[in-house]
Amino acid sequence: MSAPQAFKAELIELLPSLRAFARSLAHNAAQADDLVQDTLVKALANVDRFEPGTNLRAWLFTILRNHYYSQLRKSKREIEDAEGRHAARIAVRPEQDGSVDLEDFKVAFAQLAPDHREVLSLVGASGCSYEEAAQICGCAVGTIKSRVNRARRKLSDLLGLEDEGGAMIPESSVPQETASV
Amino acid sequence: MSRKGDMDTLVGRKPPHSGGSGKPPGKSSATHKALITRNLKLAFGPVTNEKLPERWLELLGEIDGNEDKQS
Repeated sequence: MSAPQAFKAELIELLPSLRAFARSLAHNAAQADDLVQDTLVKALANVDRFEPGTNLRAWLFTILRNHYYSQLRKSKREIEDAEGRHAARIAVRPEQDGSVDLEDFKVAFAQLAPDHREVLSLVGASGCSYEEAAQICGCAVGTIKSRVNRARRKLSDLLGLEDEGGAMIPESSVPQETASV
Repeated sequence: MSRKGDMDTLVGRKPPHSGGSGKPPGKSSATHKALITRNLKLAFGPVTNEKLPERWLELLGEIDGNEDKQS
């Protein structure tokens, strides 16, 4: 298989997870798919900048993330959203058995700030290591760990999940080696 | 205690790690983590099984085209 063909094959393999990441950032499927499409166009236009053998997933996710934030700065729609339209729509309450309705979860997740959504999505849904998430977000591993912790705490608050005894979720509860949310 | 001392005590105080409620600390945190992880996978996992749009595959066809031109 030629290098371009190998690149294409790996890219196709990564598209579903790239799409899932886009879906976690955008608030609807169409916007998410447009994000992926724009990412593909950018990736193909800059394919000569990609070093074969390096992390294609991180490269693609970074392109998508940067494009998303670029659009966000232009539109500011997301900021208005975060300021309350979603929050005003529902009040999420956990089920009595401690489980959470998936739709309620999605609504609560959508209320998170974009940087919180992205780290939870990368580490929790996409299975990125903290190191990989740090590479994608362009920040230190420690920043990712604390951001994940804050995001998880915020999401727990939005879902109405209370810690027993009012204890905060401790930083130490974030695994140091294995990334999980 | 001085005012600064009061603030240090308030700001620096961490939740007790044992005793008090009699329940192990972090237990519910771990439950929340598991709950969040599970729901993240439920929310976004199915997206990875959705059929890819043709327009993406057509875009990737450019790679074949470029390769043909070069050869």
